[in-house]
Amino acid sequence: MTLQLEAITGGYGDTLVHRDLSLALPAGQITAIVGRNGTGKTTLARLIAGELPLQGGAIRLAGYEIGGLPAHARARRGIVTMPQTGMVFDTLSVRENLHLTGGTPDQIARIAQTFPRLGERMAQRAGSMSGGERKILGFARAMLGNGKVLVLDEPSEGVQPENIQRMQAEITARKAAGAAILLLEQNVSMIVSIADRVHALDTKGFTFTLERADIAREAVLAALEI
Amino acid sequence: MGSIVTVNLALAAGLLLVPWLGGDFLAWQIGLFLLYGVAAQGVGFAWGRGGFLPLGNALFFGLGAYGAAAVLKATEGALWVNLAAMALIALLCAALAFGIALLLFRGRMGSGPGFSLVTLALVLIAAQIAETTPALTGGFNGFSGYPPLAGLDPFGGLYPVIVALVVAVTLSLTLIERLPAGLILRGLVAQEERLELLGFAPHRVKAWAFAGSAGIGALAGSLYASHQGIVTPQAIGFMLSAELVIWAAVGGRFSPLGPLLGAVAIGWASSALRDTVAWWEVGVAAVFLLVVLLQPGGAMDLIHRGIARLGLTRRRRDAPPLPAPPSRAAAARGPLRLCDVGLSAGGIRILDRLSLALPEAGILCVIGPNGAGKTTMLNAVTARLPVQSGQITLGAVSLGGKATWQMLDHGIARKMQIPTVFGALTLRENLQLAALAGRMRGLDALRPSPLRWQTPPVARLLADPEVPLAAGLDKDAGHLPQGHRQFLELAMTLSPEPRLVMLDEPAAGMSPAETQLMVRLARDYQQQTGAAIVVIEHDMHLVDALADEVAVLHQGRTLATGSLAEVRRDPLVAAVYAGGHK
Repeated sequence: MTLQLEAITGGYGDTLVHRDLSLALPAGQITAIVGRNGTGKTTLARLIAGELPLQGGAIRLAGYEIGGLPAHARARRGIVTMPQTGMVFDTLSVRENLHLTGGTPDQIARIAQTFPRLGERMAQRAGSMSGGERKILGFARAMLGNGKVLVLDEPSEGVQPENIQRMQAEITARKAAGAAILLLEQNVSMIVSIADRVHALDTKGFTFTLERADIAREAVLAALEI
Repeated sequence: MGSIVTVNLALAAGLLLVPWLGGDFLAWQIGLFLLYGVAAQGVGFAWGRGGFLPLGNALFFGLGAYGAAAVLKATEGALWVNLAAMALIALLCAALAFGIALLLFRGRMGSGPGFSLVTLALVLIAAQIAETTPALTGGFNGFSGYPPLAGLDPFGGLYPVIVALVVAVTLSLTLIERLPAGLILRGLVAQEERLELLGFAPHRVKAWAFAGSAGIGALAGSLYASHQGIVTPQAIGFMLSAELVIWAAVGGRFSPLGPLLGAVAIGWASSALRDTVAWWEVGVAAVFLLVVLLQPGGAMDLIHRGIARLGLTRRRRDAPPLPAPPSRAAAARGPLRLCDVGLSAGGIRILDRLSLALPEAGILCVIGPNGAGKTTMLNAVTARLPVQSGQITLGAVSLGGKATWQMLDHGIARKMQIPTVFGALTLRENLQLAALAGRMRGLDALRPSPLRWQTPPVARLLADPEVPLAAGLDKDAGHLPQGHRQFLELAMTLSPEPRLVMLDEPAAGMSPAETQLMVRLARDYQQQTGAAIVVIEHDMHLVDALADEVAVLHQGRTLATGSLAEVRRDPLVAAVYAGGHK
């Protein structure tokens, strides 16, 4: 399903971060947004998830307006977000964290094979894991279940390179299965490896777009320096 | 400063006009609720400023009242003796509260319900004792038959004394908000962990706040004894404790005047209207509910917003910065050594006889797979997690048994993996707190000038055109994006000029350009101060640019140490960790 942001406006109370921002997340594509810190990438993720109220514009999922729905209703319609921090339930075990996504036992077993650390630590309390391990668990949670739109806010932050490779493979597999994926990343290598389209964001909105053929390290770095 | 004087003069004048305009009986009635109001100011201070809710503050009000009554009876009117005795009682109450808070808050984070429940239990016990020991307290009938303070008539001369206490307490609480002590309290509520890493002991800060809260309550109680001529168990009971909380909440616990307003308005209206208006108590309860649910700042919050809308608030001028005194953290010496350190948490062995020797100066990068124990190693050093075996030493000093807040005095500062800044405070206030860290001594908390201190590392960072801090100093740190938070936290970490800096993934959430800036800032600090820096990082570009030495951790042990090239050639390392870059 395609997610369409139509001239959305929002931010923190009177402090608007985005004004009339439009963006399409096509099904079966990985859309990356790059931009310096403070351009509002995390704010955008929170507006899509419904954590922040929309102050203007519309969000359409397969044509159906969801911008007025609360966060839990959007999640039920298939919008899955992995926030930058606080992506796991600290007081629950790894197993409980994975089960709460609605993933089937088979899916959980498979993701635990992909990330062996999760398989080894099923009974561990998630809050006692290291920062990178929690990121992996949060990522695994986002991959389980039946998300039609996946919003990933800095999934690679604090994660060792081998696990970033595995994350990339998982994201690509979800793309092949038809999910619309929004990747908010500072990790240029990751973007160059998997993104189909890159939008450069600055404080006034999107400045330019790179299509798959043009996505190279130098071009993405240039986008980051705007 | 001008507005504080104006507000308190207006308060004093307004209150002193009451007997002229309304007669002595009204002044007597208002006087009672002013005394309750002062006790409620104590509750408001602990709850609104300290962030912990005392449910039993009538304990101190009652102790003050019984104590004053006993002193008045024993000394028969010698004024200075009475005043000194009352002050002593207030000090004893403050000391008792200090001890209670130290016991309850020591070694744990947060201000959860445990403290509130214990204070509730204490006031229930105190009321029980007051009721069942007639020989001491007069029991249920109360303690009476003592002269009022200095022979002052409760319906006349005592009232100005009460007004004097009200103004003195209000003035003190307002001044504290503008002093380092007030800033430290706000930091405590905003981000306890960062405050502790800046070398402040959270349990002591809370204990001082609770001591103040109790002392204020006891002073009000001691005048209450003279005002009423009798002290009954009601003055030390749970009902009064609960009412103090309600008055503080409805009037506004974040402002010194709020609880006073709440007590006088609700208390006096209650006494006047309770018998004539049906369901009065239900009405008060409903107001309390509405405040808790909709208007947590109480009535004063509405008043402040109204004043702000009228444009009556003056912008405070920024005083020029003063050079900060030398930091204790800069004086600490000695390389850090971990020797056979073992640490388990939740049944998982995270550090497994980890040994690692840090250089006395230079940059050590720690790399390794997720879950290797890198952050836990820092947690072991800063006493965030208890070490079960082995030794951690800094030069000749063992760090075993020390608390997190003591680390800064040993020269150790730490930047967290998820940047911790005081979100509810402005950037400027964040940096003010960091300037106090490791430099403040005793009474500096009550002097205004330490708020103007500027430290050499922060001055350099603010002067650096690339560092994204100087432009938004008056913004709340909570609104900063993750990457900028990293720079703010770095500035706070370096401000006390630590000898050992621990940076946990300092470039997380940063673009390549910002990462390069972070590298340069860490390098600069190392070269300017000759400090030792430990950096945990996954980005090999960053490791390559920073590291004088690299240590690889795996499964809670040191797998290899050496230059980056050396550890990369190590087949053991290659088997567990390849490394990549952003």
